[in-house]
Amino acid sequence: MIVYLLCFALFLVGLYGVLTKRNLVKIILSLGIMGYAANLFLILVGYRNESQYPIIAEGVKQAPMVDPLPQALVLTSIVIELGTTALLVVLALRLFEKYNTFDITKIRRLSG
Amino acid sequence: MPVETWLIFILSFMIIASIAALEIKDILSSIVAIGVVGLGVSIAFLFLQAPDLAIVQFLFEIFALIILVRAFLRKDYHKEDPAKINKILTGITVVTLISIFLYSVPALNHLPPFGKPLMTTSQYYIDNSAKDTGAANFVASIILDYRAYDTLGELTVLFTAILGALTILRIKSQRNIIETAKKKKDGMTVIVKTVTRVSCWMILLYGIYIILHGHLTPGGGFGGGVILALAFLNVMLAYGKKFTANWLNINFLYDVEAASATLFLLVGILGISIGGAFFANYLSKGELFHLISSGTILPLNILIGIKVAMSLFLVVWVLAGLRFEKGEEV
Repeated sequence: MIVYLLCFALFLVGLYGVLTKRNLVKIILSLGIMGYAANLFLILVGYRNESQYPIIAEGVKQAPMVDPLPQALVLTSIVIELGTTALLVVLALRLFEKYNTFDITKIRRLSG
Repeated sequence: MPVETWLIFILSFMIIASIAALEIKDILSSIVAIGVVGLGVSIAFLFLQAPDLAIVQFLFEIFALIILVRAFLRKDYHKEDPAKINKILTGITVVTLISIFLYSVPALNHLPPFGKPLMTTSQYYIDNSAKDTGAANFVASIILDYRAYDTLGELTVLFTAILGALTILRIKSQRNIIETAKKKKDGMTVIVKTVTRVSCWMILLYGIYIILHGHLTPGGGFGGGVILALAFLNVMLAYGKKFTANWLNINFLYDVEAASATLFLLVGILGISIGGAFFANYLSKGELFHLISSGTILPLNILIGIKVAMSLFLVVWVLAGLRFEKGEEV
């Protein structure tokens, strides 16, 4: 229970960054924090006490395993996170090129 | 110590690191702090018995750091303007978020307690995976056999995101790379080049090993793909862009990236005609624990590995070519 709460707190830290920061780089990093928290939460829910990783090895007796389903979904989610981060970085650079700033309030002012 | 205690320790550490990342004024320091959070996630995955995820998270974290540092370093806008931050708005946000946190306590109480998951569908996968798919790594068997359709959707998202990034930067960056190559001497010293000549092949070999053994050991296409991209990156940093452009033929890499995504879809469509369902596993399952086994999981892993390697390398490639002066018009 307390791990879930801490994980949710991590998510809220990311949300705080998205809502209050005005530097585009900080906003991208906050989105990253939210992504970490979401991924970690799914794996936390799938953990089973006194179990091993969901991979069998030759000649070893199969012990109880943790839930493999969230692991499979989170694996692809990590990859997508990097893809979207790259897209956001490129968009931020493009904005920097045009307005010469990362401050979102200034960008808004210039667009009229 | 029980797992839960370790996790509480790691999570508290991550929360502190992420608050630090958001509040530090210097951008480079906050990027490094984010790296600490990401590696903390990787360690937490190890404690939660998810070696697959730990490897992939570690590699992607390193790659994300490379992209972020390359993109945001050496620009003199770094410092935030502290005078203009609206204190009232920040206060309201903090109070709202704390109340959300307090309301979440009863909601999280309804979840199954930590360490006792529901395990309904998952128990079926654990019991039958080795028999159904012939893969020793159950995570790989879920990603590329039971739930291959989901993976196709997720690959589409990745493909679109990378395509967007490349489209925005490609033309400008191409021009810059040609200009830079003309102007100055490319690459590092002869010592670095000589070491790279050996190390790059070793990294490539390790990446190929990780991809090919995706159905037997932790790793698979996603992790191995990043290692391949890092090997190319190694060459690019040591020998310079001009040499790399000649060696790799960048336009060909764009084609390979698109082709591997299409081939992934083709393997799925062939499943309709041969196996009777989209992404059916129609090849021979082989013998458990052997390299050539588990039907279509092996080819799909290879395709994902190529796709991830090409797209990530190309993103860093176009970012490396990016270079603009202050106030330059678009």
